[in-house]
Amino acid sequence: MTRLATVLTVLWIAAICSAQSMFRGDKVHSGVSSASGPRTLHGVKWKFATGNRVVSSAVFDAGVVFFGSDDGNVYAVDAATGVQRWKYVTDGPVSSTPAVNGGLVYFLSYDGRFYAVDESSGKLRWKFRTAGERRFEARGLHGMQPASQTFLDPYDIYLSSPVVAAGTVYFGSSDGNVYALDAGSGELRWKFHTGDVVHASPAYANGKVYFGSWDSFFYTVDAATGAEKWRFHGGEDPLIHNQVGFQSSPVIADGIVYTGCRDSNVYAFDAETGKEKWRVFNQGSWVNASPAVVNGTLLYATSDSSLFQAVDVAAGKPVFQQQTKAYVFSSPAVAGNTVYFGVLNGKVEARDLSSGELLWSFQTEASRKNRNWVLAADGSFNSPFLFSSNWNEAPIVAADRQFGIGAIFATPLIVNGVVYVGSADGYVYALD
Amino acid sequence: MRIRPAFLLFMATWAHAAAPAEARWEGTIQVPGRELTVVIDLAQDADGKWAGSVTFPALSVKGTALADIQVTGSELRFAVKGALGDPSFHGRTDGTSFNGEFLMGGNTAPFQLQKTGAAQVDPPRVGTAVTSELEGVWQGEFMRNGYALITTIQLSNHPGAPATAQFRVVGKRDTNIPVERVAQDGDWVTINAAPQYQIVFEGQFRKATGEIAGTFRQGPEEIPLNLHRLKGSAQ
Repeated sequence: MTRLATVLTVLWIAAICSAQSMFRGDKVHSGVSSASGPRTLHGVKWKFATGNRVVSSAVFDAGVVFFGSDDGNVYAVDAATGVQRWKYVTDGPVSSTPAVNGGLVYFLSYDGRFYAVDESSGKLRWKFRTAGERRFEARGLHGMQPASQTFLDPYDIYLSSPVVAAGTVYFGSSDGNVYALDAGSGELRWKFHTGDVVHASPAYANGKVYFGSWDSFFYTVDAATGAEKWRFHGGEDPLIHNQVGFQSSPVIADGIVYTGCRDSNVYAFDAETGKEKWRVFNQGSWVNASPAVVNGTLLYATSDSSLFQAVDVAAGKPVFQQQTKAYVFSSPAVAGNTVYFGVLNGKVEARDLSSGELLWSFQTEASRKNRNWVLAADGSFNSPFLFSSNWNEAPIVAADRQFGIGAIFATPLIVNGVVYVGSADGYVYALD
Repeated sequence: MRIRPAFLLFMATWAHAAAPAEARWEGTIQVPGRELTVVIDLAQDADGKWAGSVTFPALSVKGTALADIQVTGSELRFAVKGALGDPSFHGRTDGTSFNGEFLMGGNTAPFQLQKTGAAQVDPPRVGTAVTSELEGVWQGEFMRNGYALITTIQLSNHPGAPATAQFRVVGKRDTNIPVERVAQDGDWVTINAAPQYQIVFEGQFRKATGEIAGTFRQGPEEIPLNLHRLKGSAQ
């Protein structure tokens, strides 16, 4: 019995591990793991220094955490000790979250290459060239002046993270395509073109691939052929392009696909037909975080209103909302009865799943130092001071300062009671 | 007779000594990770009333008026309204230096300033009167986000003071926009809303048509808006 229990435990742990090997944990982007995470923060187990900010989320397989860094590397780090196993060097920031499947680690770099490297050695197996990665850009973006100038979006922080299903790896690209590549060889199976950058991560369910584009459409295509099944037109903002585009990645649960959108809505669609079930408007705040679904409740967070929200999925009605003080781009990661996410004010928060009450928070040292007075004393953004000018490059410089306090864009990974999360301060933290 | 000049000289010296704060002050605020240059001008008028302005060269703030100025002996307090989230200064001067604390958003940082010369207080942007042909009630309509917005502007002159305006926009909501300044320069009239609205109406009076042809501007958005005298509104 003891041996059987041990075997079952090993199998159970293996199941947990395999469910944490890509963005949002699995191919439907559930954001829910059966692991338990700390309800009380004891401290920093280890921290790992990279050479630039880490917006990539960590994933886990076989005792190793994998993550990208804007220093151009993908790292494999021992989950227990924080010691580097290997790193793979690319020629651009790795702002996507790796996916680990079948002994390969897949990721997209700003150098315009999609890579597959060996999980144990970090050696290249194949790479695929996109038409180039870049930020979303638009004239007069977010009200930046002059209105006739094209600006890059400093808040378009992520590249698309791959999802692996049925021997195929799917990812979006700034060239407007979603690609389906043979997971073993990197051979192109199909590509689907949208009207603008695709930085959301595709989700896979029942032979279909779901994703949003910055062209304001949400698409569903056949996973085998790339043929379009349905599309949904989100909000438009032709003047300042602020309330447009899908930066959030979808989650699929019980035949419903949920996604946030920069048009300030969270949408629920019938996964088969695309029929809109409901939407929740968030008063102009972006919903860039990818939702999680657990126990009939959808969890997500917002940017400017800085809310962590729970919505009843059957009715599309709010269950609770909690104030986080600053923008949230990080996606809620559910482990047991606790939910974890990062906040751009440099904090990682752990909250009770049923009430949203704050259990603990971890604050980066850069956030505590509050360099450039990015934060007001209450932990909110000190926007009047930061954004004193909206002309030329000033707002972009201000946003860069904003991130410099160790903003947490990454989504926490929870494995065996430890929370792994990257920060814009260049570190990946293991918290227990 | 021989005493009077000496007395006047004494009074002048006393008056100067009583206002050591009156000067241009330049130096830095030690915000963590960032040394912020600041220039403060403080001056006292003949009635003893204080006025001042502040410039932050790195923050796009030039000559913003100081508010709530309190000078008590060597102790100085004042605020900045309408810029940078309304920060405030509190410190002491010995006549050559002015040191203290800068408060903003609940954060506090020390500052050290030195007297660098005479005060050069930036005069506030004041409005003007408008010509009689512009006085009265004007109305126009513009489209925004698919909705028609009816704008009514009433321009009024006041003896010895700049003109004022009531600025009302009616769409889904009925909004009275607080106006900070009305100014006419030739045929052009400019109406600035309070800074938080970032709204400016700028128009050219056209005698031939009797209209004010202009634009409604809010931040980067600029929409044509032509105003016509409301019937019954006297010129």
